[in-house]
Amino acid sequence: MLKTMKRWIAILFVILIACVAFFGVFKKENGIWKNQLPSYKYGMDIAGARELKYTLNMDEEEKYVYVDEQGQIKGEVWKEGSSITAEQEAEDAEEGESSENANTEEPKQEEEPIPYAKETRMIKLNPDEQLTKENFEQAKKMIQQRLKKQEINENNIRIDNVTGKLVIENTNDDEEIELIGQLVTKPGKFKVIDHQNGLVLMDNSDIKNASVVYSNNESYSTYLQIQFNEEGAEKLREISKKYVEITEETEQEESTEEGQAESDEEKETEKKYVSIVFDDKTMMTTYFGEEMTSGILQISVGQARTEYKEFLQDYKSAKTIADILNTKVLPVVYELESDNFVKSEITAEMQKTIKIITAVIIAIVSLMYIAKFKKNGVMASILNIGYIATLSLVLKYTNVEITMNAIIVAGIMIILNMVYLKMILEKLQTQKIIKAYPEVSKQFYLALIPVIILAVVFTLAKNYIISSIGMVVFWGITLNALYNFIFTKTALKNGED
Amino acid sequence: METNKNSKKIVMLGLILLIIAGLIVVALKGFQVSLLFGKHETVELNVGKEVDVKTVKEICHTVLQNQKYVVKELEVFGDSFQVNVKSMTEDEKSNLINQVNEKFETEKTVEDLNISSISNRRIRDVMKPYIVPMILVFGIVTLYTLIRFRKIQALKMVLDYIWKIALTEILLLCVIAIIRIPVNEIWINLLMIIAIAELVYFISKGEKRLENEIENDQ
Repeated sequence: MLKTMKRWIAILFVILIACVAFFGVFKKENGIWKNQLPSYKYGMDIAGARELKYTLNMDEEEKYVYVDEQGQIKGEVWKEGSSITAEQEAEDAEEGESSENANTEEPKQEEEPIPYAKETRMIKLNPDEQLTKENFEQAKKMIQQRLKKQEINENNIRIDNVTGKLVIENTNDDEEIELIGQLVTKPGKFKVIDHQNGLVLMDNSDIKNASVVYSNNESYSTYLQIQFNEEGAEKLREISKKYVEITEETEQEESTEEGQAESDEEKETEKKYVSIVFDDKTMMTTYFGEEMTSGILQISVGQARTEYKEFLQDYKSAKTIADILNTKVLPVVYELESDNFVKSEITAEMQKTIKIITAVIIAIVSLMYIAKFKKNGVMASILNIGYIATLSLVLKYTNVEITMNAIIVAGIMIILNMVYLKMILEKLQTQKIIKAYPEVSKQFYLALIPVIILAVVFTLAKNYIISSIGMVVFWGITLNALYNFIFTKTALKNGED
Repeated sequence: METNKNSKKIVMLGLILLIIAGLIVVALKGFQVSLLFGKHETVELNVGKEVDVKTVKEICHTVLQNQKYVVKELEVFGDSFQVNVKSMTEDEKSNLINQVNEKFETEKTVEDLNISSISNRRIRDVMKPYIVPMILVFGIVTLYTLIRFRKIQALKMVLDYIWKIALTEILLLCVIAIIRIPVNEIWINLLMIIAIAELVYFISKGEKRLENEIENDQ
């Protein structure tokens, strides 16, 4: 009697789960009935994707630059932190001469001679010789690395080897899209520049690696930490000795009323600055207080923050720069051509058709169960529908990303449950459930060892398609074991039970 | 006995011929890839009023006739669409615009079409993320097999399933290449499922043998 009651309670519970999963739980909110169950989290092959198209930036600009004997550009001509043209320099020189003539007593500051010629050049962002198939491929690989470092795993990248056009499909996440924009369009050029004249003192070739560090005393401060290679460390040491605050003591003689000469000592300070530039944007202009022997340079990113959210923003920005620096300079420069949200080719109508076909297949299998196993067949059919319902609820609540591949795998999980039920039903014809259940379970789960291993390995994978397959398999098998232990064992019986 | 041997030989010869044919096709033409996987063109149009994908598909069916195409809705307002097609001639473009103007009562011109060339996705790029996880799965399963079935010639069992799974996969790939099935991510997934299903079959067979062995010992 108790067993029969238990059996009916189990079946009623399964029916209840199925109703909840398939029809939802509705609650009136602001006069509208709203389903309280979460929705599935669909992958971009079902939910649609943002399609970002990038083209090569063909901009060119006239620049006044330093050129060495081999014709290599050694920096842009600067005057106190900003670039100037040849004409501006000539005008400044004229003004300088006339003011010198007017005030001949003012001492002239001695400038260090620059061993390079100056000339005006037309500089293309993407020089023609850079536009090669190898460079396009290289750029694609580097962008993939940058995306991987930033843990943007759900995307497809295509590169056209002829035009260099780049297409990235990504999930419709505005924050990720903005980040992708930075990772693709920023070439990652790092320079330490003499602030006074614009000469490049250090560049990417001197970097060993970049990372992010932070301090947390009374407030959070974020730093971009750049570790230089051997050559770079030596350059940094030299720069840190040269770009400092220099204090010169000068003597001035003043005559007093009594006609006696009095001497006064005055301190004059002169600072030599360097600018740290990332993709033509000055991050910092500074001078050194001590000799840098460690080969490590820390650049402050943002301000000292008391709000954790603001600190997190600084940290993310610094991490983006560090990841860009660690993947070297992109051989070509891109600009965004278009950004569209493209819906999936699987329309709502197609989804409906797939659901109907699945329902028909389940109905046919259920009828076969009923025809062959009578009462137990009816129970098994209800249990199978209950398993599908529970699996759908688990996938919704565990936020598993549902891709087309994951749907196929979920279908296989349902088939596996059908196989399990069939094995039990067959055993029940000759054995009691208490003996049939452990025997079938042992046989079934031991055979599924490769699938269990696959579930664990795939779940831990970073690729979104693989991990979604892994998670569906993992939940499918875990649920199979739990569900059949709780419900199938209770609901099914042999004539002698 | 003799007939059995002969039929086995015929089957083996057939399989070898199939593999050779498959290799030739792959070497000469490669795999056939699905439209969205391969190099294609996207033709985008902002109609300016709500468009029904079904109607656009009907228009494409008339305009592109025997060509394969995929129509997708663009943006969330439902007023733009994207047609993915191998390539579109000037006549087809103007025909498309005429039909769109007729159906949706608009005055669009060919210049309003936004056409981009989309490069292919390489099969090896798609397969790459599967390689390490699959090697790990096979490695762990092999280790498990060697321990679990040590009493029933585990090494022989491992070698047996390795060559059989490899053969099945190669044969399937050859069939896919020869009959020009358009390859996409789902096909790669199916190949993986087949390999795992075979592993399950070999493990369950091993369990049965092990059970018999234990029964015989008792």
